[in-house]
Amino acid sequence: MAFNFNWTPLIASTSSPEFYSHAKDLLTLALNKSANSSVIVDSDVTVENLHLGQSAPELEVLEIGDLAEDRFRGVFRMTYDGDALVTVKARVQVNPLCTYINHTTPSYTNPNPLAAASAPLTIPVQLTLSEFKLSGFVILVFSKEKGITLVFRNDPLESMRVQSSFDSIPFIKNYLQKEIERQVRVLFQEELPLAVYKLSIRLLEAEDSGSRKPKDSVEPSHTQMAEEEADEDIVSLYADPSDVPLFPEKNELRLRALRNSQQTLSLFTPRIQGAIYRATPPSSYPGKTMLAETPCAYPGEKASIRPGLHSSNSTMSLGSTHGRRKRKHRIVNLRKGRGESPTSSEPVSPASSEQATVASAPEFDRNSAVGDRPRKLSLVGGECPVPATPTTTQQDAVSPPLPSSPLTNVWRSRPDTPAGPIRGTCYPSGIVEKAFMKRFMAEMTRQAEERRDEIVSESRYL
Amino acid sequence: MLDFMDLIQTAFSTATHWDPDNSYSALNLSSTSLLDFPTPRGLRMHLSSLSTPHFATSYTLGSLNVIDGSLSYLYSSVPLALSPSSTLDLRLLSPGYRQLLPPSPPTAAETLHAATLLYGRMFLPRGTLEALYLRRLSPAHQLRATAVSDAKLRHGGTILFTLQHDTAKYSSEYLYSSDVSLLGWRGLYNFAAPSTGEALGRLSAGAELYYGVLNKSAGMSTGLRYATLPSHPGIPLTMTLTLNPLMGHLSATYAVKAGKSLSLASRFEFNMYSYESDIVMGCEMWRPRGQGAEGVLKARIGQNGAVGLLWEGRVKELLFSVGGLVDFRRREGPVKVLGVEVAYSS
Repeated sequence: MAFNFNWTPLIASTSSPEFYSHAKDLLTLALNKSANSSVIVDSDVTVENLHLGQSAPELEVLEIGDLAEDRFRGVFRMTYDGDALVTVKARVQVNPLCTYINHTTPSYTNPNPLAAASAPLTIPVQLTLSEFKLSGFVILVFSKEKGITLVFRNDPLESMRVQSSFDSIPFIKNYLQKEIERQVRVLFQEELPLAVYKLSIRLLEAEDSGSRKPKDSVEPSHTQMAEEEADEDIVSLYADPSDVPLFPEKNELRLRALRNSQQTLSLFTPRIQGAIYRATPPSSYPGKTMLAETPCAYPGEKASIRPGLHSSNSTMSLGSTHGRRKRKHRIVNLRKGRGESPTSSEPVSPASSEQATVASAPEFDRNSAVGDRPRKLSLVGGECPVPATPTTTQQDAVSPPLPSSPLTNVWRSRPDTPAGPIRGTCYPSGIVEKAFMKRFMAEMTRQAEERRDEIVSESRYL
Repeated sequence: MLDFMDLIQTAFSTATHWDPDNSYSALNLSSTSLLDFPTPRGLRMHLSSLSTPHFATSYTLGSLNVIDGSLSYLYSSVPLALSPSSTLDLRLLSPGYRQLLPPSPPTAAETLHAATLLYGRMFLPRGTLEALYLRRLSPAHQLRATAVSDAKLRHGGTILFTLQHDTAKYSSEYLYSSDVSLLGWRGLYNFAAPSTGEALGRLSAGAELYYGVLNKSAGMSTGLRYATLPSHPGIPLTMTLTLNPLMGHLSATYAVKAGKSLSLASRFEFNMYSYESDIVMGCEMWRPRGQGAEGVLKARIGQNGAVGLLWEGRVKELLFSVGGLVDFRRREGPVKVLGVEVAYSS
């Protein structure tokens, strides 16, 4: 996959005079949008000179959320240190009393100065903004129907240079520098997205030649809006039925496997060509909605702060007390398989069990049947022996025989001793967590070694 | 054409022996009335009456885009006299060249003390209210407060206080406007006539200063005027020179009463900082009839080719004011503004 950002056509204004004149128009419009001060006389503020410079901004692709022929969503990091410049011109009335008398006060209460206010002095003021230093995160959403939405996530302006007709007066120079920087920040964050959006709509409409009109053109005015749109995109990813055939089931399964792989403790992720594994909090993907339907069976939702350590289905027992208990301490139950009860795994909607299946499928198919739940480590397990204690017995009573797979057998063969004292006791969470992490890491390395051995031995047999 | 209520206020000044000319704001009144006369816009009718010597009413109906109007009432504590429109002196109605008189100290008649004028005007349908309170505090002091109430204005309205102090030798005014907390001072000093013989002219110098407390903006100007007095044997003339040192603006006017029915005026302006300049010339011609006048034609032309024309006169018992602005360089047609005003008063 490659992106080609073509900056050169924008450099020479001779090569694209249309673009420049249009950009000037848009900028002029944006500058005059807010009510002008009465000191600006004769005409509006006009953009005299606009040049995008010889050097292109550096773009670093951080994330591509959606990519298709007619839509694109991505996050870029942009840095710019080039020679772009813009010159703005206006005529300003510098007699303050003149503007006051002529524009503010009604004629009847006019003090009627003799010559103090009737002496207008308009001077042309020229402002040149150059040496922009920009650095910021850009969210770019393109859709053939909605145009281009470009939003700066942060304030991109690092520094700039303001030259004006008042450079000889330091007080005014400093004031202008400060004030214009403030205005440019607003321009980048509010006006520019709007201008880009309008331009894109215009260009797209010209392309479509009116055959297709934008269905719902939402004008982005705030960053928030674009973020909402981005969220919406995730949800509506499969909403359009026309998209489904484009995405083969096989790929979908593999992607799901990739996504679900982080819900385990395995260090191994299924390999998908060209995909980069990225840790995402489990609360952010759509599977959440399905799981949320059975909250009692899936208390691990609460542990979403730790992206990698997703808890298992083991703690069915919490189902009864889930609603009224506030868990202040994290209790770690390392005794595996305790809560692997049918009530906990089976009521979980088929989708979730399927997820678990797929998660294990690509790598573990060789030695375990489909439908196995091979490696689940219970992080959130037992509870403080406060009000509802019967849970323990219930848990023991219903715990089913574990499905047998080589891996779980390995699990089983581990002595239970360290888990014993932990269960049913309240510990200060910090210590417990530390201890747990230690154990956890040891467990992981051991497991990895065993797996490697297994694979080696298998390949030897083969 | 002066408004009926303006005429009444002039009559009030006359009745209370207050000299409105002895003020810095009236420094170049002659040239202003010859060069900056307002031209009517659209159709407008005034119906006014001084029903008792103390009470006057006036109604205005206009049609510029939409029909609007105003009603105004005036009360004066001193009895006033004003001729009805059929016999009114047109020179009073349409001020032109202003013949200055030697400054006279304000009279201290007991009856004039605490003379008060109240005036209010309501504009419909906008709902704007104008109000005036004028009070003679002492023979040498007068307080003038004007206010406008309008929902469109910031803070719903503004008020302007002016305290005027006049001893024939000098006059000063102190202003306060609520709009931007504008503080102002205006002063005029009349130089003494030469001790030998009768004074033929009047030389005055003045200045004004303003400071807006809220917007921290200031303004000022200085001015000089020489005007001939009626005892002058030659042609009556008025010359003024004003300078705004902050803005580098210089303005010189010259007004002359060339004949009994003709006055001419010109104004030259120059800005030292922007090198912008302007010149305006104007004239007024009276058409005499018997003792008084039948009508007056005023015209002015500026450097940019804009011409202002105004005819004011009496037809039967009605006072007419017809005028407009013409610009021959204008592409959309030469006539810019056109208007007719009709007034009747009793």
